[in-house]
Amino acid sequence: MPDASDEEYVAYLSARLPALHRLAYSLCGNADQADDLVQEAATRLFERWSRASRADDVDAYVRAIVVRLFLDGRRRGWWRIRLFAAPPDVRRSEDRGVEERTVLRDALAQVPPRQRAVLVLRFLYDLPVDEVARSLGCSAGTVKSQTSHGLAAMRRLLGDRELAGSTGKER
Amino acid sequence: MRIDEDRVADLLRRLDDEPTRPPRVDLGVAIREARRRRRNRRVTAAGAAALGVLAVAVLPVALHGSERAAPAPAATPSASTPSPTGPFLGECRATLLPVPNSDRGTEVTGGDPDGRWLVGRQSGQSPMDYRLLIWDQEQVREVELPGRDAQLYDVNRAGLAVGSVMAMRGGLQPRAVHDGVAVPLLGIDRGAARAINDAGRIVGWRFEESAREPFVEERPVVWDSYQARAVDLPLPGPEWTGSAIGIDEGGTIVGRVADMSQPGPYQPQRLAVWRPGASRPEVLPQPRVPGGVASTFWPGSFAGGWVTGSAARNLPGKPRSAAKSYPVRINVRTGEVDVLPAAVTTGAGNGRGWMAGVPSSLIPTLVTDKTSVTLPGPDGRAGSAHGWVRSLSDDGRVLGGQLYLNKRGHAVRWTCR
Repeated sequence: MPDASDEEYVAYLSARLPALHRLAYSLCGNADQADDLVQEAATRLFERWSRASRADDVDAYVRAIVVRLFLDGRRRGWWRIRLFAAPPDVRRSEDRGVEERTVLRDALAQVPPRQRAVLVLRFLYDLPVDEVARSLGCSAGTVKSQTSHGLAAMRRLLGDRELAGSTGKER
Repeated sequence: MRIDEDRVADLLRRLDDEPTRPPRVDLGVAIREARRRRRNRRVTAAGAAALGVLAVAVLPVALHGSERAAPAPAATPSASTPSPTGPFLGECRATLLPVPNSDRGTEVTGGDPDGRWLVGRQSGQSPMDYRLLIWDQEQVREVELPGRDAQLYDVNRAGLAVGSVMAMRGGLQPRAVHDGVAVPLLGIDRGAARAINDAGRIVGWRFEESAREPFVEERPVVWDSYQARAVDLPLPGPEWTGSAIGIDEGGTIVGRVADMSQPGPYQPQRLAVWRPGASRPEVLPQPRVPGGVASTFWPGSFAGGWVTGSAARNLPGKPRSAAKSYPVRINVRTGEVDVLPAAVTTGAGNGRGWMAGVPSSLIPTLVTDKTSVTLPGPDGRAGSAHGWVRSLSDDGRVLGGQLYLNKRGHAVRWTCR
């Protein structure tokens, strides 16, 4: 039977599911795998809810679970097999940015997982270095070096490709 | 214009795309699953002491008569090891394996020491949806295993295969495939079976929630048979984590272990050996590689006393990501350690200490004692296709893996003479 704590958990997490799913999608590039990551993260969170709900920053706590589950899954090699002819999910949209996003996402998908997680958290989510370090469970120095390696890898992958955004203005 | 790194960061900030559909996450399922795990943990905790006694009770049975497990005698070929039919010439050809549905991606993920059996999988309707395949020579058989990311890692000479599947509920689960039917392996909540020997003993790991949440840690386990319950293998200390990755025909088990009490985000992986009769694992020294001692060693396969894997050495003043990595083989019977001449990432090893894998070019390669062989594509040309190698027979003449052709992975067998 649900108790007050269950209701609190459901109220908290249901409001954040879209954002967590988006974070998971940014990390793994696939909506189904993003579902799996968030489903598992939701389970882990409930297991610890009595403690987690009293944390200073519950959002950061949940984000750390998602990121670490992603890295843990990558380490075990779920992602490695190239069995599919089709690329990962591509946004089916006709807007003019779609090609650019596809190119960027394809490049991001080729960056090693830990560097990718750092790039996603720092630039897509605009989190400060210390916060990224807490999410990954590593030092700020490691985040900086991983950022540098990740950006260099992206630059190599994008090569001389011209992207509309590469000459665009800040939003 | 050429893109610089600041611009990359700028572009990433604009990458505001979203999944193509809303999340399909069920919080009710999450709550029920979390409660089930809590219950299981309580049961496991209550039984943990008994399990520990059992683990220690099983191992010393063979200890009587020897104070400490001595290294076994030098490798002697088992009765069933095929005799090479002449000197190894390193001439190989690739054959795409028969598959039930030629439109789907396929791969080989393991094989037996004789090269008769290969195990693998074929992709299904959606990512992570796979059907298991078992080849007995040229005959292929499909195996039903509901769940995601089903994979077989190893098969013995009798055709008994082991692996894992992500169950719809309950996470990663160990499985064996006996006579074409998948059966659950008993005694653990979550984990995977990684290797099996001809006696039918199976090794792998189970997951355990860590005090250093939200990590999950690994514990090495052994099943005496596919019908037996898992027993924990002892770790070097209470703060250690690890998993078993291989078992040879003499019953020696190897795995990787790490001391989690050490500070810092990365604990080096080390090679552990559980010898028959010993009550504790032996943690081997890190191998020497060019320039010094390796910082970490990641064992990939174990056969006939030989562990093949990757050793990495951190460079002073450089980040860990700049560590240089070397293919290494270690003989746990004789103590011999060799850095292999060709830089391949471990895919498979065999009882002669040979290793097959891929270098950075992703061209499948076999490294023997004497030479390095670039494996061919189906057209017969050496190095004509990218791929992976996942199995290598003891005589080095049968390899299994995947070749990437026409934008799709194909299960492949290489035969060499």
